[in-house]
Amino acid sequence: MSVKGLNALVGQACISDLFRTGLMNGRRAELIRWPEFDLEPDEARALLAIKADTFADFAAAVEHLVAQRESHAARTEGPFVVSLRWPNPASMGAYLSQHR
Amino acid sequence: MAQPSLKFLCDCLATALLSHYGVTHMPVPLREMLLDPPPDLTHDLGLTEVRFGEAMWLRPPSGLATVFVNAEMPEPERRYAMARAMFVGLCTTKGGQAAGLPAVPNDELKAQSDLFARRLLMAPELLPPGWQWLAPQALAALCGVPQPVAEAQLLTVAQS
Repeated sequence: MSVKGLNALVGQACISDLFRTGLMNGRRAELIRWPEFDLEPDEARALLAIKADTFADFAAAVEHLVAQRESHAARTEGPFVVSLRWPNPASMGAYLSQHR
Repeated sequence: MAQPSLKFLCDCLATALLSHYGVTHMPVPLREMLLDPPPDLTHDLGLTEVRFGEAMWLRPPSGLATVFVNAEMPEPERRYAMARAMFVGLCTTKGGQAAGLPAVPNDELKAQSDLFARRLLMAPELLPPGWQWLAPQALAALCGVPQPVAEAQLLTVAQS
């Protein structure tokens, strides 16, 4: 879930006044546990740690969190980059070097 | 004060709306969304069919805002116009304003409402794997949007 869950959380706060008020006023720990958000423990911890005076501040912090997760996912799930290297000018052999 | 990007807010709104209505497949039931908006948005969204113009969100003196849409437009054009007008309405809601959606009207409203309408009506989570390689005509038919909108979406994906 992850990114979709974080998007759903902010979106729910946009369309529900009660949810948004609770998120900003003491009920965040309860609300982020809604099963439809399906958040991972580290995401829940990150959300609880957000200090925001306004809902826009909170949403901007969640966007930053989403960007971090997408960046991490791209690094861990992205295609391997393989380059062909010559070991030295005296050798005709080649080897493959794998980078993430 | 930090401001979330419009793209992120469009992602969030589309995800929440699709979840609220339990949408699991295309086409997105936009008409139903406007006829029966989420409880806190009943004063900000609605649907009134007329016989002129395209689609426009308005808040009459009664205070009950609605999207006026020309019922005689072709279905794909009508759906897309309704989604763009819906965005204008969402910008005026308490939640939209609190989140940082743009004040309306503004000079960038066409691009802003296009972004939202495409995100909602062509939600990637509802599209089949490999949709990026569909022909524009097929994608438009699948999502119920005008073909130029599908072409623009495919072009955006190809460039990203």
